[in-house]
Amino acid sequence: MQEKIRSIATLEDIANGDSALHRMHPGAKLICLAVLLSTTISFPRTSVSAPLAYLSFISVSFALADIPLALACKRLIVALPFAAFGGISNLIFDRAPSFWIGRIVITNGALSCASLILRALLCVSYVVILMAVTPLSRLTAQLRRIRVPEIFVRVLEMTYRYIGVLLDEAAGLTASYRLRALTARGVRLEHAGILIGGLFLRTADRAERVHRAMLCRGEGSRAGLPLRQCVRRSDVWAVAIVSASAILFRIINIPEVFAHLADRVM
Amino acid sequence: MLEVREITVIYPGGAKAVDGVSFRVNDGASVALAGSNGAGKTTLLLALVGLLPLKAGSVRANDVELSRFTLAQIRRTIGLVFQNPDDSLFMPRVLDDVMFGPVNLGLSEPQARERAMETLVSLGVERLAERSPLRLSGGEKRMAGLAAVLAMRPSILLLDEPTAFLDPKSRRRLADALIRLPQTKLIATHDLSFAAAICNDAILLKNGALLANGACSALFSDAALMESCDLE
Amino acid sequence: MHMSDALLNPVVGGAMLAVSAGAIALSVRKISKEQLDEGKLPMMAVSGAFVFAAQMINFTIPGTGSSGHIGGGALLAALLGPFPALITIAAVLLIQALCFADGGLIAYGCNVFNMGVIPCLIVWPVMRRVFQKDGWSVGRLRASGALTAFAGLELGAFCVVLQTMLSGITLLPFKPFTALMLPIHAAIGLGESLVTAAVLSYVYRARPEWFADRTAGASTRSLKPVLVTLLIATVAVGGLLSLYASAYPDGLEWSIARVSDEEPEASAPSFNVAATIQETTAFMPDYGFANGADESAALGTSVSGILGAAMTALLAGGAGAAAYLTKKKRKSA
Repeated sequence: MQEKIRSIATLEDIANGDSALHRMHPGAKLICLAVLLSTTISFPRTSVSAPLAYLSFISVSFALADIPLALACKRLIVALPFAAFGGISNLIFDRAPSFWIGRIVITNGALSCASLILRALLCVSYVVILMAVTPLSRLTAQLRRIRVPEIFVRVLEMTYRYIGVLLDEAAGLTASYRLRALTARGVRLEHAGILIGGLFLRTADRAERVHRAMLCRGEGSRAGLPLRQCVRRSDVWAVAIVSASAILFRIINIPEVFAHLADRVM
Repeated sequence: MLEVREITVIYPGGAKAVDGVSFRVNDGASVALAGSNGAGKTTLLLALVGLLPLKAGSVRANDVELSRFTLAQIRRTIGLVFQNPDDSLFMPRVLDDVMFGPVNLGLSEPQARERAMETLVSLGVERLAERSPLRLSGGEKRMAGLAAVLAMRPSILLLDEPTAFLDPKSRRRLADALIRLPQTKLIATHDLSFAAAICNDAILLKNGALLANGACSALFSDAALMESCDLE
Repeated sequence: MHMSDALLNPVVGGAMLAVSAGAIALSVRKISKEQLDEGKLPMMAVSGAFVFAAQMINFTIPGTGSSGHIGGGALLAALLGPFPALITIAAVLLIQALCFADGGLIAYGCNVFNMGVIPCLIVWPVMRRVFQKDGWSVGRLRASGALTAFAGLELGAFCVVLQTMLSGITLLPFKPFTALMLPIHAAIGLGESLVTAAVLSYVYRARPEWFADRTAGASTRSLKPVLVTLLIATVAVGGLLSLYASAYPDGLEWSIARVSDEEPEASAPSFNVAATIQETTAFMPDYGFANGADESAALGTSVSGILGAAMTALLAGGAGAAAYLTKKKRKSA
């Protein structure tokens, strides 16, 4: 649990950095993300080489924003099993040969497995980059601007705020349980209801206190907290360049272009 | 000025949480509301800002009587600093929390931001503005919670166990900050040395009823009285 | 059960995003001003944080030696009411996707549907209708909570299969996929349903008044518009997708063909319509599900193909390095 709390805290620190990407308008970042995600997942199932071009977005972003590689690796490890599951099933069920490298046959299934894993890793990386350069408060301000319902945005903000608090409470509960239950492993089923139920009652009490604090500070008299950030020319350029490149990489297989060039040279 | 007359607050089960309490806090004065755990201090404070209904009695803050029609006005005049700062810091960043009240008062975003920063600077904690409350120490949360209330410019300040969760150094810092504040203050606490450092007068509560009312020096040095209140 | 982006195609992802967004918008409207005045908003938010914390509490399932944790959808539906529960689960899933890479963003709509809409808006109201009668008892609350958790999980898992199959990315045939997903989630569901029942029973015994007014929310009668809307959306989406899917016999039919040695056949009329759509929206990504011909033609057996890929990767890395150095130069200047 401490790991999760630390994880949020680390992301907060990184997201409050100062780089070109950090300063970019959150709306522009969301548009770039949408374009990148949709072009990346739209590739044919067996496309392995073409998506490689998208690595350039990732490497440039990491470099510009000083994003620690460890952060990305942790997130990629979480996402890997699901992608691998889909990929491995393709490996098993699609044994049609695609081409040979010497004596080794590369099947369509192998290609689609590799493609799936590559694209999964790309998609996760885009989100890691977004969250590493955008504090949640700026994202939620942008959500308000695009008219996402206020209740949803506020629930999102406050849930995020209280995750650490509740995790701390749960950590305390389970630690004291384990010390007195003399167990190194999880909570026994018959006690899980009590612990989780007790945690919920504490949650309800806390929510009541938070509600009182909000009332004392005038809650109910206004809609969301507006956060101004002007759209600059650089934001427009960034969106244009990223979108155009993403679409270009989708249409033109860049490795194939290099392959032809290499053919010519050789 | 805060004037409380014969107020009674009832628990859901019917028992009296506050029983016929009356007192007055003059403009600019600092008064301690002392009592052991369960004496009714928190309940009393919640009732003063209309968060709990009054069974009997009245509350007047700067000539405005507390009623369901004057809740907004009362809450502009009286600021309540909660015991657990995690309960009152509910926004993603400290600055957002401190701006929350001013925005609700009708200030524009730049005005609210300016007022929030002024308040943080006055408490010497402007460095906390962009930080998440999740990462703050107990003392820092306490100051951020105080700033969130002060940004509404209340003329009367209620504080509920302000030294809870604080180490000695943070207690001293908080005491210094409170002494400098010009607001009328009512401080609920069982930390008598803290109360004596800030307040001239004290009100003693026991089982929801007023036991004594007078100068801190006189009350706190009365051993028998302190014993009867389960205070030391 | 969090789906990742790579297993979906944009059409399925986009359609499910639309359906889930609609469900969330509807839920927002269903939360009355009265409920907000009573503090529903902080309750939903702190409950979202509670879900995170509760998911960290691993319980051991006796007799199996394995451990599990609750999902939260069924529990929240019972504790907060269907509409607030959906909003809370949606917020939790978004934070999980953004901050923990648990589920993709294009897949967000699918995840909200599978883990939020199904238990909160579909299963729970049915269970409540069956079990609540003139109020709750411990036994009936436990039963409804347990059944919601179990059924919600199984239905959600089935939807994952459907959404994945419709996307056509993975070639796992329908039958084996379903045969894999449902029993696994049944085992998980068993643990979750037992704990959900135990939590509800504990909360009911501690605070019976909690269930008297808070979970009233909307009666099943007023859920009819919700269900009708969902039905229309599902039919519209399903129609669009079937047009799309039948034009490309890969995926489901291909798998069936592989398994049963039959040739897949595209259904002609829908194929033509879909082909027309594709032609007119040619700028849109060509999903090219037919076969791996694109890739094999591109790479062939030549070394240059591999070189091409390597050069691309190097160039990508080089772009990053150049960006880093430029930034450093600017900082030191």
